[in-house]
Amino acid sequence: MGETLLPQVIINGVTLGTNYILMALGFTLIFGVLRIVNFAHGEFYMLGAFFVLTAIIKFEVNYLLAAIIAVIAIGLLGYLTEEVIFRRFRDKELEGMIIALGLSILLQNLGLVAWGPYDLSIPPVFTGVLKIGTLFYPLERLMVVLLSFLLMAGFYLFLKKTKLGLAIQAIAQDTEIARVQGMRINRLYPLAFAIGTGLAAAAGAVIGPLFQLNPWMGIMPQVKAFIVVILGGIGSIPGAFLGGLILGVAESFVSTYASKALADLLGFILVIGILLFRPSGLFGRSQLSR
Amino acid sequence: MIPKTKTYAILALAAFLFFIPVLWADEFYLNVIINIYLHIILAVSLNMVIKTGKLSIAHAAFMGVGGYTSALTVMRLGLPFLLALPLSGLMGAFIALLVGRLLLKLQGVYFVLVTFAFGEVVRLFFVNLVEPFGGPTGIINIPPPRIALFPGIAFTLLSKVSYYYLVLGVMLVTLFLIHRIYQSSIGKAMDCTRETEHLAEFTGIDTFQHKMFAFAAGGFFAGLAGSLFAHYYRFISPESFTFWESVNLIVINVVGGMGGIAGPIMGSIFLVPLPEFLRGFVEYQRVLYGLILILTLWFMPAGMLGVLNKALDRMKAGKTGKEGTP
Repeated sequence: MGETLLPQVIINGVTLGTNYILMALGFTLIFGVLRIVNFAHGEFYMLGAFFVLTAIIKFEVNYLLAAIIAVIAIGLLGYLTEEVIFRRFRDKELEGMIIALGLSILLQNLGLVAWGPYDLSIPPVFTGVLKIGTLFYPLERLMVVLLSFLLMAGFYLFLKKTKLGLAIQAIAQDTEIARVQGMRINRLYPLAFAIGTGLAAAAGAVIGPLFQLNPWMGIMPQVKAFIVVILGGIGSIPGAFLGGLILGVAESFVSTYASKALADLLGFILVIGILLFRPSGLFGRSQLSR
Repeated sequence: MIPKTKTYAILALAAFLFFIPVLWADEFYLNVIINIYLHIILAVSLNMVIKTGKLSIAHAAFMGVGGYTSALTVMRLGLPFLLALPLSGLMGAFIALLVGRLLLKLQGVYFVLVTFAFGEVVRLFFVNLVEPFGGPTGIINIPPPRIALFPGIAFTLLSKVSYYYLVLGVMLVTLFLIHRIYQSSIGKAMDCTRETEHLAEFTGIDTFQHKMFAFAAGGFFAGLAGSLFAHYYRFISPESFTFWESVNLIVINVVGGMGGIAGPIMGSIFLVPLPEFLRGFVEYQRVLYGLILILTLWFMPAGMLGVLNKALDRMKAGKTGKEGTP
């Protein structure tokens, strides 16, 4: 039994980890570029999942098209949010954070007004179970992992290969130098915010079918994104990957071999541990350099 | 001349507060006012932490520590309420000192995120430890405060009116103490710590100790409020002390203005009754709340206090000369 359990635990952990990474990527991107702690990230995730649901049920489009619509719509919403609201609070870290808290309250409760307080679910997209030897894996989850990997690969290529991606990285490293080099901050900031919120919506669209949908569904993923990002170093993309994998696998191990309650606490214990020994996270830059 | 009128004004206000239950014996309004007072204690004590430049999202956790401490002290240990109340404050301060040593070393965003994480840890503790915290259902049937003046003579604060005076008393003492702290050299050092930390260090101010002091004192008063909360509603659960309650206290500070004691007081008076008078459209309450927060930061970043100060300045300028008029 012990032999079949171990691979299962690892697979579950990696699945969980990919979910966390997807949430953390947009969050860490937004912080890296705009220096905003986006407390509303979980709400963009929630909206992404609900947009998919509404597109499938009201407009009867297929899942993939619904997901694309959701990502574009939430991306646009993110763009406008930066243009209209966050623009006024640039370089004001504390105010920006409080604005994000207000946005979180606002979106969560607009979600409540629009979709009500009861659990809804996206109609199942993939059914069946994959069986390899003694390993069981629901096809639904396999697709989630595959789609997540596709998204992550796409995001990675975007950052490394496109002009826009490189520009965004440059701003994240040093806004002043990027500005001197002639980059148009006023165009790039809202774009980076749009990409970040679009990623949150993509996470909601991809992971949404696995869970119940309600206006508060974004809170827990957001908590996990915080933990992942603190572990990896806030603003660091490789940090988000590593942090997400570590948290997912560790939680899977602890909940299997110890208890679910301990698994819930684990993230916080890891965070406190890492802050004791490496306050800027695994991949974070030192606080002094900024 | 001016200090004297100020003293009279404060005395008149205190007398007015004292007679409120006589003027409006209505249970509904008393409940709202008690709620306002509890939030004033919480929001003003959070203001002290903010004064040192630290935005904590763990304040409700300290309130929870106080609430559980008080309920368990009275119900399990059988100790009187008058002992449980200060004990709850001390427990809040103790936990704050314990975690502050680590948390307050963190800068900017990291501090905010980790106080958020700490608040969740505390909540998960209450949820997961059924013994003694009662797990997700919390603790029910918390007795109302029983106050023994002399052996044999004791009375129980069952009515809203009697509870009103208890909360009023604790609030006034809290405000007085925090006001004195703000007026003292410690308060000035806190301002320096927030505005120019490095400069403060050079002038010999131990900024870390001041942050610790503010955090621990904040934990103390939040613990007191937690105790008052527990014995008033006579029921507590982990859901009473969530992240959202902490955010609520930040909203009160922002909308009222973070630049002084009067800010969170005004914020509480304005925001706490809001849900009570919007009962018709429950769903839109929090939408409005979020909007108010964003619009306040947008159009009046110093909050209601800032607007008030500006108006006062203009009045003064109008009296002394023509500089104030455009």
